[in-house]
Amino acid sequence: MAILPGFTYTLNSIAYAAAIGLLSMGLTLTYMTTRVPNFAHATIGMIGSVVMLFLIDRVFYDNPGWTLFLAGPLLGGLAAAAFSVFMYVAILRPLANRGNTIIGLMIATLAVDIILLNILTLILNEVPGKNIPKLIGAPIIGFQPKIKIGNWVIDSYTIVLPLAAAVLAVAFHLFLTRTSFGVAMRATIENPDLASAMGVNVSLVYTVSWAVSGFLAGVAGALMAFAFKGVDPAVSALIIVTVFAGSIVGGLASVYWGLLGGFIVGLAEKIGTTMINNIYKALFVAHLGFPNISLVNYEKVMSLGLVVLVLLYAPRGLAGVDWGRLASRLGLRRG
Amino acid sequence: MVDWWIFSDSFLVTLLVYVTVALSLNLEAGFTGIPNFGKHLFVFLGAFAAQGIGVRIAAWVYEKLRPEEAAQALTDVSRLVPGASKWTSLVQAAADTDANRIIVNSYLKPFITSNLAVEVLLAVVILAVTVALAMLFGLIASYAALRLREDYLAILLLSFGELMVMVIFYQTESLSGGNKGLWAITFTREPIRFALIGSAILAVIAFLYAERIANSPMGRTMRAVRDDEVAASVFGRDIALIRLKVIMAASVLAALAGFFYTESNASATARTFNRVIWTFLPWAMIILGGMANNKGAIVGAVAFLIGKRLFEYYQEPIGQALHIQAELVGSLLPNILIGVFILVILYLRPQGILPESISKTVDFRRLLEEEARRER
Repeated sequence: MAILPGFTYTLNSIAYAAAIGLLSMGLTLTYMTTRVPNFAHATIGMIGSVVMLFLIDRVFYDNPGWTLFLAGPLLGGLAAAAFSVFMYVAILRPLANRGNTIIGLMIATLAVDIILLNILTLILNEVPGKNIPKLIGAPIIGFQPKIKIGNWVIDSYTIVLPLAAAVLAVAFHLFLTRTSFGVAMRATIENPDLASAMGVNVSLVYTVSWAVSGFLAGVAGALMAFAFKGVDPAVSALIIVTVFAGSIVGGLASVYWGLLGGFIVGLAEKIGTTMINNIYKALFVAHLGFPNISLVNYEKVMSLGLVVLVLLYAPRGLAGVDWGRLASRLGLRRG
Repeated sequence: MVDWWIFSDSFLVTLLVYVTVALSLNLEAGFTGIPNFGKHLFVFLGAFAAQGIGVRIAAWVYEKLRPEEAAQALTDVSRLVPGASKWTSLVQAAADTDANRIIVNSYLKPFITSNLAVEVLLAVVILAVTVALAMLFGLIASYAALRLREDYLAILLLSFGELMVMVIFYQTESLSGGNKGLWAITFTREPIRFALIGSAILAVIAFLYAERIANSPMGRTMRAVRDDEVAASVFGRDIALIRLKVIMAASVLAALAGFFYTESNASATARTFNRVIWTFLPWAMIILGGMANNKGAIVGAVAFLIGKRLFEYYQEPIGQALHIQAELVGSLLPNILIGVFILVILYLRPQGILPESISKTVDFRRLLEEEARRER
């Protein structure tokens, strides 16, 4: 019996992991700048899914093509970015100025999460679809251009999503290193007071970081909508667990490690769990008489397990590991 | 005018249960600064003790005391429920989603209510299981609390709660019935009265306990840990031990509350113990009433639940006015309003209705008098 998952499943898993990576990246960014763990982050990503659903229903129903894959993430990202900025400027910043503690701000993000989730659910329930009869839970997997390689038909979102993650990461890196505003952002993350004294508009930097974070979430959400059986904002309640896991594994101290942490956790959740499940079925169920249950349902155990491991052995996450020293200790490198 | 029957017995139980949960959360979050965002797990543990574990214990006792009746019950159920031949014992069948309702309501409940000794003993055992489960999970949760900063801790507790309730208990049908849930073991011929009296006693105990702790040296130490961890540890306080004690005590209170809530409903499903109604709502209550103020927690719980009940009562006219389906009004709009309400409170009055008060200490003049009397 095969231990490794099938080809399509692997592609889907990589796409899922890339989406989680994008979400973790944005979460890490706002945590680094404003020090608030944003519990509404996954639901902000769901704005992207909802925009994608509406685009398909209203505009691209008859001829979904590659333009959909350009317009969906872009508009979804912009909508999510707009909400994210609104959340920071109109809710979190005033609350912080009123002297709320970090716990108060966390509660505020939970409140925003609940408000946004219920509003999105309400919209999908109440707004009638133009072509799709019932928007909530509508599967949209069919509305994507198919890629054919020989006999294989590949869901194109599985290719586009990792590509989008890579492009966005490179673009963000260029933004941080090649533009003066990016340099100002890095300076603000290092030391807000000093940056402010050097003439950096810290408040603008914070706002932009929330916008970028929202945009990344919206892109991930828009493309991830294809991965689910139907678009339902309620999935964000469990996605946020994985996203936080990815951020903590990354260390909440570097955007790139956030992306990588999310990617690792996403892959472990899908491919890791499937492999463990296959081993369990092949060995424990077949030969040792263990109950025949599917371990795939428990994929979130994997992400939390990774978090526990990281917090125990590398409390500052992968970003805090001294990789050079680790390599030399393992004998991979001299010195 | 409102019909008063909407504030029924089951509403009163819900109220008392929420008062207890809010008080216990206040001990953690208000006094000690532990951001417990996984409260729903600890409330669910009480429900799990009443249904998943309770039916198994009851069925086991039934099999031991009345083997013939139990065997008869098993054959009866096998005839009624298709595909039932897989069960070898009543314990197995009692926790199965298909057979659970018949076994609990037609066999176990008459058996329990007919025998006072069994009933009392079973109640004690299930309560003990509730306490033990809560302490076990509280210990696991505090293991993280000992070593993490508050933002990391909040993330981890939320993930832990969500994982346990929505993944482990919800996905595993053999534990608590999964999607369909299980019927719980209830006591006396009028379970709602039992739940009402029990939750009332529990709420009173919780309030007295919380007041006593808040005004004791332990309470002052808890506030010190909340306000400045480093300073508290410099003065020789064992922060890990304090957090451990607080989390375990609060978990036991929350689980007992969940137990009585399940008793009043007679059944429970893991999915209904979600983050919004059992973590966020208690948080909203203590923020409205005032963090680190026990009377505030009660005020917050009462205010929120009466508001929520009135909203559910008027959901049809509100739905018609807003052109929204009535059932969505009942399920979605209250959540939105609670969220908005919290943001408004955090902005306008972060300290809540009743702000934190200075903890009551022993009157020092009386101490001086006693001292003087002793010297004389």
